[in-house]
Parts: sequence; structure tokens; C-alpha cells
Amino acid sequence: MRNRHGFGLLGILMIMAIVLPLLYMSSAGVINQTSSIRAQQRQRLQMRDAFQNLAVLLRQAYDKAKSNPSCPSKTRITTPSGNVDLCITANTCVKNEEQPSNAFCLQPGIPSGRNIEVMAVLDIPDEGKKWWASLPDLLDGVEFGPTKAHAQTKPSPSLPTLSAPPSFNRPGVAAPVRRCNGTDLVCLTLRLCARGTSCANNEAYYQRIGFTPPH
Amino acid sequence: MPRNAMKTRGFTMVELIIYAGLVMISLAAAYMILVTNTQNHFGTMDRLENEQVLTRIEGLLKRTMGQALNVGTSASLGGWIQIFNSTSTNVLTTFGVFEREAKLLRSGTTDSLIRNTGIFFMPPTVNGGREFEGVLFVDLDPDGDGRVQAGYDDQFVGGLVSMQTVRPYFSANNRLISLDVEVRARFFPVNQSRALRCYRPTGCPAGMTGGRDETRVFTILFRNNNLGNSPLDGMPDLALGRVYFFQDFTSRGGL
Repeated sequence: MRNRHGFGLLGILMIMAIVLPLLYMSSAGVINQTSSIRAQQRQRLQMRDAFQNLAVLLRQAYDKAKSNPSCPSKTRITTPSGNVDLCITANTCVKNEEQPSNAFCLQPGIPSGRNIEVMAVLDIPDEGKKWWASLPDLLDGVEFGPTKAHAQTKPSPSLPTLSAPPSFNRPGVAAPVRRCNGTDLVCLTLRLCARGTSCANNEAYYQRIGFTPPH
Repeated sequence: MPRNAMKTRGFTMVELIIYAGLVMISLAAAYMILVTNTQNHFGTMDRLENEQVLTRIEGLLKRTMGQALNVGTSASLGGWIQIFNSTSTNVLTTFGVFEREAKLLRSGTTDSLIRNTGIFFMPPTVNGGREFEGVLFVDLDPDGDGRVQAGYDDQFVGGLVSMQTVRPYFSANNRLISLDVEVRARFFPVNQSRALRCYRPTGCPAGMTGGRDETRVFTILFRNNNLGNSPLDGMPDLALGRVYFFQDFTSRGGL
């Protein structure tokens, strides 16, 4: 009889049981979204550090191979600008001084050729992603020139006017053009992708580096 | 009807009061959670957008200055970057002008491409009673004529309050190895009128406050900078040990 007259305590509890999880889920959604976007932003900046660490590590392996011709696990990579011999020994790792949790290790004993796997452990707590790099990843014919991009980030109606803006021509000391021809630089293209995924379907990060000849 | 049956039908006043109280508490709690969530959501989105602006500035400067080739703090060395604090000036300031490695290079063409780069900072100004925000300009010399100057056809980012360069680290020949850049931006709620936004570092008029400042400090490594020639073989030394970096890119084309 009593049930006909209102919700009763049970009814209220049932409504709360529906409403509260919905509210919780909406909060969780916001937090997840935020974390995801932040992680993406961090990733881009971290990739630059990652490439730098990897390049340093490769250079070390390159110098070691040159100075020690009988290196036990020498790996030869053939590139259009010449051969790159790398001496990859166990625990060839480098750490990022600014982010000590990030480390790169070259894996010894991996077959030579195009697919040398380099473990790149990047600490991205929100995603827990690891990265791997394969080198060299030589791609042909695609070239990106500098573009006149307009990178205004927000509508800014209060931009100042520029009266008599300073203008400069080329600085006095001209930098030499570097060439990947084996005598100036021996070049490799590095590609970093998320581990366990196909680079073809995901955004990959590329960095072309050149080694100056060893001493 | 038995007396007990009469008692169990319907609600007593006490029950109604208790139920009504519970309902009110539940609704109030749900409403407060909803309001808090909504505020958090918009606050977080605002904060995120602010972070994005700062990240974009950091990326832009690291991407361009990181590719600098001959750069010190004096024009006599070729390219130069100014050690400055924008709060001490109210005119368009040249932050730096230098050559940089500019080619997003895959295989095929094996030469690098060198372009000039100009970085300029216009501090917040007041003109005719109107407040103008600080703006960072980066001219990448896309047409390759070697001439760079600040203008709204460059890459530019507004909403800035101040900018300064600190802790330069030099090589033996006074070339820059690294430099810290501090950028301060001010963000306003979307519904705050543009006329009531002030970007001055200090001394904003009453009624023109309410913006939130966010500061980011980051280190730029001049990884391609020529730090001098090695006495061993006359080849240039680079910040990361003779590794030359072409401009990086993603599979989507930019970075």
C-alpha cells in the first residue's frame, strides 16, 4: 500500500545510484580528456629530446666502431651517403640528464641491415608508452620545404601596430651548406614510433642526422 | 478498519519531512557536483588552452633556435641572440637573427638548406588609451631572400606579457651552447571584454585586471651551433658531439 504514495527511501537511493555514477563518469571523462591532451603536448617536446639522445648514442657507437675495427657486434648500415658501421655492445645506453627516467639503449645482436631495433624508453606516465626506433628508414622523393605558415594561436584584435620594424639581411658569417656525401656527412634518417604499433598507421617522428667524419 | 492498518497507510508527517530532507540533500549534492564539474571542466579547458599556447611558443623557439648554425650574443660572430628582459623596453625588440638549417630533408637531395631567421618581441603597449598585448614574431625567411623583419605575415603568437633570456652558456669562442627562455603570458576568461584586458607586467589600471599569468621557462640547446674547430682535424665541434641535425618532422609533415 505504501508504495503507491511516493518513491520512498528505496526510490531515492535508486535515483542516486543512477545519478551519481553518471556524474562520476562525466568527471572521469573530463580528467581523461585533459590527461590525454597534455600527454600529446608533452610527447612532441619529448620527441626532440629523444632524437637528441638517440643521435648521441649512435654517434658513440659510430666512433667506437671506427676506433675498434674488431668490435664483436659491429653492424653495418648502408646509406646513399656511405656505410655507417656501428659498434653496439651490451648496455649501450644513454640517459637524458634533464629527464633521467628516459633512456635509450641500442640492442646488441640484432641482425644488421635496415632494421636495427633501438629501445627508447620514454617516461610518459599518463600513457605508459614506450617508443622504438628503426634505422635507417630511408624514404625517397618526399621533401618538405619551409612554408609561410600563419601560426596565430588566438584571435587577437588587440595586436600592436609595428612602426618601422627592424630589418636584417643575411648575417655576416655565412654558415657552410652541409652535404650528405660521405666526406662532409654520413647521414641517417631516424624514425620513432609507438612500440607495438605500425608506423604506417600512426604518427611517426623523423629526424635526419649527419655524422661528421671521426677524428 | 483496525487501528494498526490506519497507521500504516500513507506517510506520516515525520516521514515526509525526513524524505523531503533527504531529497533536498541529494539534489543539493548532485547540483553541487554538477556545478563543480562544470566549473572544473571549463577551468581545465582554459588552462589547457593556455598550456597549449605556451607549448606552441616553446616548440616554435626550440624548433627554430635549435637549428641555429653560427650564433653568439654579438653580431660580429654572425648570428646573434640578445640577452634581454622585455620589461625594460616598450618598443619592438630583436630577440635574435641567425642562420639555421631549414630543410625537412628525407633522402634524395643530400644538401642542407640554410635560411635566415628573425625573432622579434613586441612588448605590451598602450596607444591612444588602448591596451595592446605582447607579441612574439618569428620570420623564417620563407622566400629565401635573406631578409627578415617583424610583421603579421610571420608566425606570431600574441597574449604575452614579457619575455626574457637568462643563463646563457657559452663555448670557448663565445658561441651559444644553451640558453634559458622565460615567457609570461596572460589569459583572460572568454567573457571578459577585450577593452578590459591589460597585458602590462605591472601597473594595470583598476578595473582592467582579472587575467591569470602563466610563466614557462625552457632551455634551448643550440645543437647545430658551430662551437669552434677541433684542433685535431679542423672539423667543427657541435653541442652534441659532431652530430648534425636536419630539421625534424612528423609523418604528417610538421612538428
